[in-house]
Formats: sequence, C-alpha cells, structure tokens
Amino acid sequence: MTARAPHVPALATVATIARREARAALSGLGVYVATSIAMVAATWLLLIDVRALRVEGLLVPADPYRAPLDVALLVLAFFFAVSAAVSTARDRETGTLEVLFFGPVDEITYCLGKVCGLLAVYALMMPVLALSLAALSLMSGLALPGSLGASLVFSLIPAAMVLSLGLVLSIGTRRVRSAVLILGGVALILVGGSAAYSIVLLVPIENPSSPVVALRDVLATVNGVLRWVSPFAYLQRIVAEGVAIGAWRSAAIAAGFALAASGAMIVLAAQWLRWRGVQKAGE
Amino acid sequence: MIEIEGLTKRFGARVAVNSLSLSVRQGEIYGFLGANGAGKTTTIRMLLGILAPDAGEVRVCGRPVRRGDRDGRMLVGAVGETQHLYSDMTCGDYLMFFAALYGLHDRAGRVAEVLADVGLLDRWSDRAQDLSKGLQQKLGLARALLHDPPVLLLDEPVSGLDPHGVREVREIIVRERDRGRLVFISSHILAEIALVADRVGIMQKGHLVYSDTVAGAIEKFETLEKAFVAVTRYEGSLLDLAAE
Amino acid sequence: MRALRIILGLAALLAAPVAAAQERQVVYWPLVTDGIEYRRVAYPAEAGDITVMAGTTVMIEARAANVSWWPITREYLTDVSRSAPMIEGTLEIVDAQGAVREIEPTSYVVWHPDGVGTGPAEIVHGPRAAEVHAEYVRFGRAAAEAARLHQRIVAEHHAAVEAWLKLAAQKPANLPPPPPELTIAEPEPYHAFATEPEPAAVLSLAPGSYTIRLRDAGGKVVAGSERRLVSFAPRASAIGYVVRPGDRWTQPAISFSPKETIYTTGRSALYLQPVPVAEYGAQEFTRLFQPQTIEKLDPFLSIWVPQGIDLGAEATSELTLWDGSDPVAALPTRGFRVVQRPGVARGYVIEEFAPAPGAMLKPDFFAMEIPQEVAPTSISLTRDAELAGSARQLRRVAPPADHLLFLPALLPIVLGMVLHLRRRITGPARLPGPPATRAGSA
Repeated sequence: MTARAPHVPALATVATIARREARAALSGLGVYVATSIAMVAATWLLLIDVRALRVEGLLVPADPYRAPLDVALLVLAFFFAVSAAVSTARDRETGTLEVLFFGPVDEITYCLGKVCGLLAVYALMMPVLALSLAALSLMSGLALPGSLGASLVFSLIPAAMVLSLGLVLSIGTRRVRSAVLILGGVALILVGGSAAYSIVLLVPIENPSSPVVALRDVLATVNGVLRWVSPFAYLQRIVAEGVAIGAWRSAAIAAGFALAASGAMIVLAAQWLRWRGVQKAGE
Repeated sequence: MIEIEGLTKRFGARVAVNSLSLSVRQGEIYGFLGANGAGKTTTIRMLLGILAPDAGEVRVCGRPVRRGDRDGRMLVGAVGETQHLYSDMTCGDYLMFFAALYGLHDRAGRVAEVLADVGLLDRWSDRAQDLSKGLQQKLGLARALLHDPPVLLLDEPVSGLDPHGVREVREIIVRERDRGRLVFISSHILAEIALVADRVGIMQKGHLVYSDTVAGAIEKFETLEKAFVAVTRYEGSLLDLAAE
Repeated sequence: MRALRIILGLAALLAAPVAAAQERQVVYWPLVTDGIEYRRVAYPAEAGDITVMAGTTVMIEARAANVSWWPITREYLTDVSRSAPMIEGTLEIVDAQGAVREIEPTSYVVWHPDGVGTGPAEIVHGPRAAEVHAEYVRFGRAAAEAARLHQRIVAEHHAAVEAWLKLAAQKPANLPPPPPELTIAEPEPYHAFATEPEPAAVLSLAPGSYTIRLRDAGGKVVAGSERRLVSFAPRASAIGYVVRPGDRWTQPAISFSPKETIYTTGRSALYLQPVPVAEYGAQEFTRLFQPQTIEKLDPFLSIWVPQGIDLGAEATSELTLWDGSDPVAALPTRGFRVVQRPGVARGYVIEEFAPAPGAMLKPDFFAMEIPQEVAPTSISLTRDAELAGSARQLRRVAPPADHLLFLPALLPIVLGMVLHLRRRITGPARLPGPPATRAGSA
C-alpha cells in the first residue's frame, strides 16, 4: 500500500528558505556596512557637483544623483552577489545544505529561496538608501530626482541577476573563500572589460594602421557582448541609462533580458547542484 | 515499510553499493551494519533520494524514491552522524525553521512537543551550537520527528556519545518503534544494535552479506560480534571496528 | 608585440566591416540645419536614411563620388573633391501616402545678414539668390573701399602729425599750427555674408518619411539614387535660459530643459537671458549632422536645443519671480554694460546700460537681472500669461564642508548597530517561546 505523503507547496518551501536567508542577513552588520559604503561612494561622486557649485556660485546639473546612485547600487549589488556566494558555499562547508535536503527541499526551491531571501534584504535596504540620500540632499541642497523611487524599484531586477550569478559561481566551489575569489575574479572581468573600452576610447589615434584601432574594435565587440551578458551592465542599462533619463524602451528591453537571464541562471544553478550533490565538502 | 531491490551505485570504477535488496517492515528497528566504506551512508542517501542509484529501486511506504521528489521526503525523518546546525539559531529557532519547512500548523506547539519528547524542552532558548554532542544528537532526532514521519533513518545515532547519551537515544529509538515507526539504523556499534534492533543486515564492500533477526544471529553465532566477524571475515580487532 | 598586433588585427577583421576599396556611388550631400547653423552632410548609401528637420529649408544635391571605409572614425568617407561631379536631374520626392512631387534644381545662397555665427542664416533661392549675392558683393566692395579710404586718411593724418612733431622738436621760429584732429568716423564694418550661388533642389518638408530619387533629363531614374528621407519635428517647445552670474559673467550656465533646477550660492546677482528651445528626439537630432554615428539612442530620449532666436532689446516678456506660489517681482529685459573698474574686487562692475545722448555705444548684453538680495524659489517668463515651459526651480544653497556631507552615509551602519544591540539586549525574542502546558511531555 502506498502511503500518501503530505504535500508542501513549492512556494512555501521557497518562502521558508527565503525568510531564513533574510533573517540571517539582517541580523548581521554586513548589509548595513555595505549600504554605508555605497553611500560613501555616492557622496564622493556628488561632491564633484557640490564643489563646482561652491567655486562657480552657479550650477545647472542635469541630474546630480545619476552617477552617485549608479555607483551606490553597483556597490550594493556586488555585496549581495558575494552574500549569495558565501551563503551557499557556507551551507555546503558546514553541512547544513545536506540537512535541508532531508526535508521537502529540492535544488530549484533551494536556489530560488536563496535568491528571493537576499533580494528581499536588498529591497529592504532601498528605503534605507533613500533615507540616507534624502539626508544628503537636505544637507547639500541638491534636490533628489523625481525618478529616484522608480530607479530604486527597478534596480531589483538587475540585483536579482547579480544574485543569481553569485549563486551559480558558488555551487561549484567547496569553500567560502574559493567562492569569494571566483566571484571577485568574474566581477573584475565583467566590469574591467567595459572600463578598458572606455579608457581606450580616450587614446588618440594617429593613423588607420595604429594597433589602437584594432584594440578599440576588439574591445568594442567585447563591450557589446558584456552589455548583454554582465549583470553589472544591466544595472547601468536599466537604472542609469534607462529609468533615470526616461529611456523606458531601453529599460524595458534590458529588464526583460535581465529577468530571463536570472531565471536561466537559477535553473543552471539548480542543475549544477543536482549534478554536484549536496554532501558536505570533504565527504 | 522500506523495499530495496537491486540497488546499485558506482563512483567511477568503485562500486559502493552492489545489487542491494532488502525490506524492512513498519514498526521494526533494522540495524544496518558494516565497516567504514561498506556502503551504508551511500545506501541511506539513496533511501533519502538525495543520491540517484545507477540501478535498482527503492520504495518507502510503497512510494518509489526519486531524486527531487519533495513530497516523498516527508515520509522520512533522517538524522546524520553529525548534526550540522546554524550558528545563529537557538534550539527553538532551529526546530521552528524546520517546522515551517515541513509546512506544519501550530509550529510552536509541535516543536514544544518534540523537544519534550527528547528531553530538551528547557533548552528552547539555548544556542544549538553550544549544546553537547549528545544533546545535539537529540536535537537532530527532534527535527527528524517534527513532521511525524512513518520512517526514521538514523546514521550512527550514538557515535561519540557518553553512556548516558547512548541510553537516552536508545530509549527514544525504542519508543518510536513502539509508536509504530520504522527505524532504520546504520551503525558499526554492534553492542548497541544488539540491544535495540529487531533485525540486522551486514554490508561488506557494497554487498549485503548477511540478513537475519538479531535473535537468529545470536542463536547461530552466540553474539552479534561473532556473527559480524564470521560473515565479513573481518580481520581487524573489534575494538578497532568500534573506534572507526 | 608583433604577435599581439597580428592577433588584434585578425580580431579587428572579425569585429569591423571589411575594409573596402573605394567604391563609386551616388552620394547625397544635403545642406541641412539644426535651427542655428547650416552644414553639409555626406550620405553615402551606407549612411542610411537622410535626416532633416521638419519645416526648415533644405538644399539637396547629389554627386557621383568615391566612398571608402575609414577605420579611425568608423565611417564611410566621401571624396567630394573635383572628382565628384554633381549629378544633374530632377529630385522626385514621394511621401508616405504615395503623393509625388518633382523639384527642379534652382540657384540658392545662404545669407547671413548679421555675419556668420551671429544670428540665424536665411536661404534665398531662385532669381533673387543671384541678386542677394550681387548686392552682398557690391556692399562688401563698397565697405572695403570705404575702409581702405579711411585707413589712408588716418595714415596721412598720422604722417602729418609725425612731421609736425619733428618740426616742433626743432623749435623753429614760425611753427605752423598742428594738423587738426580727425573728425571723420570710422566706417561701419560690413559683417553680412552670402555664399556663392549654387544649384540644388530646395525644399521644406512636413514631418514624416519620404522616398527620394533622381530622374535624369530623359526621365529615367538615376541608378543608386533612391533613398529614404526622414523629416522630424520637435516634440515640444519651451523657454530656456542662459544664466550669467554677476561675478563670472563670461561663464554662463545653460538651462534648456524645463526639468532642470538652477542652483546658486547667492553670492552675486544673476542675469537671465531667455532663449526659445525645442525638444527633439535624441537619436534623430544626433543623426542630423552625424548620420553615421554608431550611437543607438533610446527613442524615448530627447534633447533640448536652442532655436537661435535672439530676443535682445525687443523682448516684451517679463521674468516673474516666485516665492512658493506667490509672485514677488516682475523683471523686464534691460541692457547691461560691463565696465572695467580698477580697485573693484572682480575688476569690473555690471551696470545698467544708460548711454549719454548721441553716444555710439551698445549694451554688452540684454538680460533680466535678479538682484543678489532677492532669493526667489522659482522663476517663469510671462507675456500676458506664463509662457509654456518657462518655469524653473531656483534654489539658493549653502553646502556645508565636504566632510560633513559624509554624515548621512553613517545612517545605515547606525541603524544596523541599533538593531544588533537591541537583539543582544532583548535576546532572540522574534520567535514564540514554548507553550505554557503540554500534554504527554517526557
């Protein structure tokens, strides 16, 4: 006779893992420190306009918070990618991953729970960031843009993509340190590739046979690929180049791709976890 | 009940479990014995569905065990040799988390019930990682009992425990058997298995080399230890076996 | 290094279009305007749709020219030297509804009545083009002649003065009186300019997409001459401002978009010069003068562009200053002069222009002055009613020292520490404790 197994909806399992993840993140100081660091970066960039105003006595900035917000969100996104990587690697390192799978948890609910939990924390940090920016606006006198709310909300989409990347990269590692190093390396390549292109564009070209022309064209292709592949690029495309300046079509297209990519990465992470197994590292 | 037919698992060229077949009835304690590397833990992982076999089938309470079958895992409560606990959780937090995972209603009530069952009710607010090994083992048992599963899988449940801890865990195991649960214990502590188990199976190099009731094994070989040595032709000292 | 160059070169071949040899093709070479200046833009076939601004006069001509790929700027360059003769023919233009217009080439000049770079240019075409050019030549020559004559008189007078001074140095007995002072005025310079008359199809188009092609004298379509033409209109119009601070009047700030806020520290008066502006799609506007731009801009993006109309002293509008929703002042346009004054902090003062009767002076600029002591929260331009798009927020700010601005960055960490300490003090209270009584406890 086949016993009837009680059914736990998958969403409930995802929600439980997500809640656990969120509580663990919020109970530590890391997420608050990261938000403060993000604000320091934003303030440092805003100082460019503040100093210009002091010197010139007059300033008409298009959007003084565009670059500061872009950098702040980038810092936060990177922190959360590291959090996703560390959390998953730690689960495997401590053996708690296997214990979870004694219960009604499978690879996809585990991965979704991880991403949703950290995304919820990211969302909770948005009002904190907004409050800090409001205080900065009050002190500096430079008004916040009307698109700030929309920018923060829409940043959840590329944040989900960045989190998923952290998750994927950590599935293959055994240790927390390896996960952090791999994520750091990948982030360096993704962000550095775009930065290299921007730098090469500043180099003057004397003649058509200059090697700089070839380098520039190669980096242009690399940059073009990175704009579609790198989660950090999507943060810029959706927020700074999209919502902040009203380029809604570009933002919508990028958001659609980011959501699809997040889903694909979560599925990839789940499949990889299935292939690797959930045993504790070293067993 | 547990039904295993022709279960096989390979890791590269090494065959960890080779055509294992056995069945265990409900309300029975089954001792699954063998030295390290005999295939016990691999078998338990396949029973749980977190490792896919290369051949054969496992059924728990008549339901085939499949990887990714979340509902099927609700039929089993598993306790590993070491309790892997979250460093930021109290005993209450830990069980409440798993109670939520199992989709239980009245979680606090159920958690209190299982904690009382294992004698840890007064440790609700203590950090789980600060407990002694024996108490952690009991906490693991509490977790496995939360969702009232018909089957309990215990991997080395008394390994590393002091005599008091061993006795307490033994009492819990027997009580759960008496409540109608199937208790599948993987162990190499033969004396303990002899005290609690109804039937035993002995694994060696992936094969089930012996299966009988405990009473039957003792009748044939005088003690379970002698039975183990005889069927496995174990060449090491029994003390070494106990220490592994 | 050599190996790297080889690898990069191979990679570049994959990344960029194959470097083509010169290809002879029909290249359109329209003279288009952005509302301020006219520029000739080459449109080889690879440049895509011809882009023009709706309602402006555009001169379209086509040439048979050599086109080649230029890797440095990643564009197809057209050789428009003598080896690129103009293709004669009638320009046929078909709109989206299929209506066909034929435009014969006519003579035109670009006429700058106030000089190149000052004020908008006019297009004069048809028979009058030659007249305008002839008039420009005539007046130009006359002005040059007058200037030469004046220079000669001045030189002669100067020589006479020199001679008298030499004589006076000798202290002769009968020193004649010195040459009288010159009273003739310097002739006004002639700034106007007109280009040489040239033939082209002159047209002005409503917004929309068109197909153009050339038909030769026999009515046959010139091979390779069919192109798409896009005429774009402004999305909106508004009033922008050129804002000159009193202490840096040569370094104005620009506010064209109505969404912008003008920030000031209030340390000097502000002089505002209103400028009519229009909003255009950023991609279309960029393509106007750079059809081969590699930038792909979002269609929602727009750019605000001045319309090149100088309000000057004829402005009849007033700048209304607001404090919240209350108007506090209405400022007219006035002329101002920048007067160099030694001993003053900036070395100059800006004064309202009030010339003595008969003086030939002109103001340095016209503007509406917001005095330093006045601190409105917003401004707008009114002429009977508020002009659409003329409102601007005006914020007087006094930012604190740089290090103080980092204080808000501490808010998140303070929040985290408060929550962390609270948890340590109250304990893990977020989950319920054990129920009071339990049945069946061990």
